[in-house]
Amino acid sequence: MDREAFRDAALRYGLLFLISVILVAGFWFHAEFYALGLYPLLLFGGFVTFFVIVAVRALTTGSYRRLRTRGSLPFSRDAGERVLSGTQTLVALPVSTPAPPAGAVANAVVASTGQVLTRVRVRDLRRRLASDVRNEEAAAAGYESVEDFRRAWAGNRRWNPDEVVLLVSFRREAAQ
Amino acid sequence: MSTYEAVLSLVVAANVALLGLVALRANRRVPRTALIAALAFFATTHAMAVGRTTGAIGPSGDALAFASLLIAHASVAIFVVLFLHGEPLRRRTPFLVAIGLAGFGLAGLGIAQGWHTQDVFQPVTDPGRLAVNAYLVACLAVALAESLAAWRRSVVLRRESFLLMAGTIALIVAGPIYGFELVAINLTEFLGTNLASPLAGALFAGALLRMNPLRFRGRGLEGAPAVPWKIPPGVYLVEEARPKFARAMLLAARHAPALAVVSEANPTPELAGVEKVRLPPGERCAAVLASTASEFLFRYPTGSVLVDDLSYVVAHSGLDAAREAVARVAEGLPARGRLVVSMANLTEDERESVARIRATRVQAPGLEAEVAAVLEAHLGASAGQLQRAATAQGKRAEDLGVTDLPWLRDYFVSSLRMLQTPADEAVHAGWGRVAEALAADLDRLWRTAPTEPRPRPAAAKPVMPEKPLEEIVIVHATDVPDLTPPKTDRRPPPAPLGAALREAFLGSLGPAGDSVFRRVLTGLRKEPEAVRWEDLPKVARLAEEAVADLGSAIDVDEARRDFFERARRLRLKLDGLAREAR
Repeated sequence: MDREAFRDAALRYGLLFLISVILVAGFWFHAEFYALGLYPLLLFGGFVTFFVIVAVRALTTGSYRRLRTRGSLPFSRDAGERVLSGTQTLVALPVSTPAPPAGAVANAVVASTGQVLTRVRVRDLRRRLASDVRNEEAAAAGYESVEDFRRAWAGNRRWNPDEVVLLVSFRREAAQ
Repeated sequence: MSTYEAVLSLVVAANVALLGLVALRANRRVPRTALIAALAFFATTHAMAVGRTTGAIGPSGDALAFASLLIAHASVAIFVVLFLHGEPLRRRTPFLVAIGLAGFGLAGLGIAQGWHTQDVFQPVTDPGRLAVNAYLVACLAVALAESLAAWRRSVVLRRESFLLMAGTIALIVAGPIYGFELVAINLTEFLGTNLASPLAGALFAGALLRMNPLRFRGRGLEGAPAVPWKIPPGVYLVEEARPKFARAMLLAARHAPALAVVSEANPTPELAGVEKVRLPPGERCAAVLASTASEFLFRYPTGSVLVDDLSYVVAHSGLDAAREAVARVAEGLPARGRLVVSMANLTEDERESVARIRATRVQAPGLEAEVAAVLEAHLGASAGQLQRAATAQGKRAEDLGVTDLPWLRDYFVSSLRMLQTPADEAVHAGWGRVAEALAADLDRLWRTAPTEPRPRPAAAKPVMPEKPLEEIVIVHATDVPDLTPPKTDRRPPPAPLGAALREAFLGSLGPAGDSVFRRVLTGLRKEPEAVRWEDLPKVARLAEEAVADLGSAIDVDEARRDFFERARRLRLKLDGLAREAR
């Protein structure tokens, strides 16, 4: 074990020990003060201990703010490559698509296979009429122009300029 | 300094620091005032406790500490109620006044009776002290119950109410519970204090700042385009594809402060001159919308607020939160205030859901469709005309807003007037009637609010039998130089040569041809009817001189080249006329 890891472990377990001592002292005092029986003490003390350990664990490991993914963003395989290379920072989705909230980290997945490509942080969500998608938005979504976006969006369907699309802008998270 | 004094001093310092933070950063005036009061009175209580332990403060300090503790608890309850129910309290005002008055009453009684803070939360039988304990517990209970209820019921305030709840629980644990237990372990110096007050204050401040309204100044619409509608006060949910009518409804409220809550930095030129605040992305979007709109209307009861893009709130906070945010603002709308919400980009189901709010639902018409209908009725063709007009305005047809209607009216009318050629003399009256009817219909559209029945375009009349209207293309004469400028005088038609010359000048040089032709006539000292075939060489020479003068006055190379190309065409036409004479 190197020195830094040892120091971290000592700090972490030292803190845990300190909290355990405070908990035991608190239980003893309150059990004496309120003349608690064994079973109420076990129940109440067990609950408090569990809660404190979970909270301390979250605080010390930082898991409460770690990159826990919330939902996913689907991409075509071609778009996936652009996402991986960082050249695509926006995706247009049907308005009914459940999108992760802004600020959340989501899995970028290949729509056809579900394969996870990478993790992205959602920066903003915005609705727009399909005909109102702008040049810069089409470019950020990996299209050459707005016309290119319209062709791709319509696909085999008839182009509906009044269709509402959900634009999700994101940033690729650094590899873990 | 003993440990007690150090701890209590830290509590005072923390409370004061939080007070400063809240005073500087929090924008909701009413809850901010209550929280500042709570922090200030908690700081005073603890400062008096320090003074008591050091012996620096006598009995008067005890009285002040006692009163401060009571009012601090009252302020906590009032803060929580104000925070959760917004600035428009209405039914709760008597309740809050009762809490405040009871606090001041008990404080006065306590000072008169010489009660101490150390007696607080201790088992007593004296009715007065019992009332004090009950009052303090009731204040904390109100705060806890209100925040718990909001946490369970509200979508918008779920996180904020959790913070309020946690802060209140901290006060309960460090107040009534430890106040009772501290005696058992002989820590009596801490009696009458609440060491968790900085923690609770921090949680309360966190809730307040999380829902902090966006900053605004409360400006009027001085620099914004005026819309001649009368929109009565109230809440309006505007159904439209793009937020055109909602924006125009805000612009119609001229004589009061107005605020547009937008989702983009520069949403549209239509809102130029209107004060705008931009919603933050993320889950707190709905909470910020509610607090900003409520705060604005609280400060300016006659003001108007536009929610430019409710779909942004739906995308970030969810439909339920967006609806609740609008409902909160609507519920507290002052009698003379206006709230206009554009439901653009919402699905049909979402619109139905939002429309459950008690509000006036406005089915806004399609502006392009209405203008197109007017053009169709008067000119027999619409799509191309509208698109060309929009292009001249630097927009797409679908981006034309309500405030563009006067410009569109003027554009079409001036285009119609410029479309005449000398050969159209006989139908001048017809063009005039078309232009007037078109202008009247566009003007009616401009003046009719979406809350009123929409005007229908007047029936088309056959005004131009000589030309099929479908073939007419309306463009500005300046864009097409071959068109002649309008002729407003009603003089008799010129003699054949004079008319031919005029047509040659105007046809070649465009609108500038008219002034050149008049200069030539001045040089000839003749009226057009008096020009003879033998005058043609002189006409050509005078025309060359006039063209040279005019050309030398043009600074732009491209324009000058274009002008001399036109002059060359004029020369060819005059040569043709001369050959004809021979």
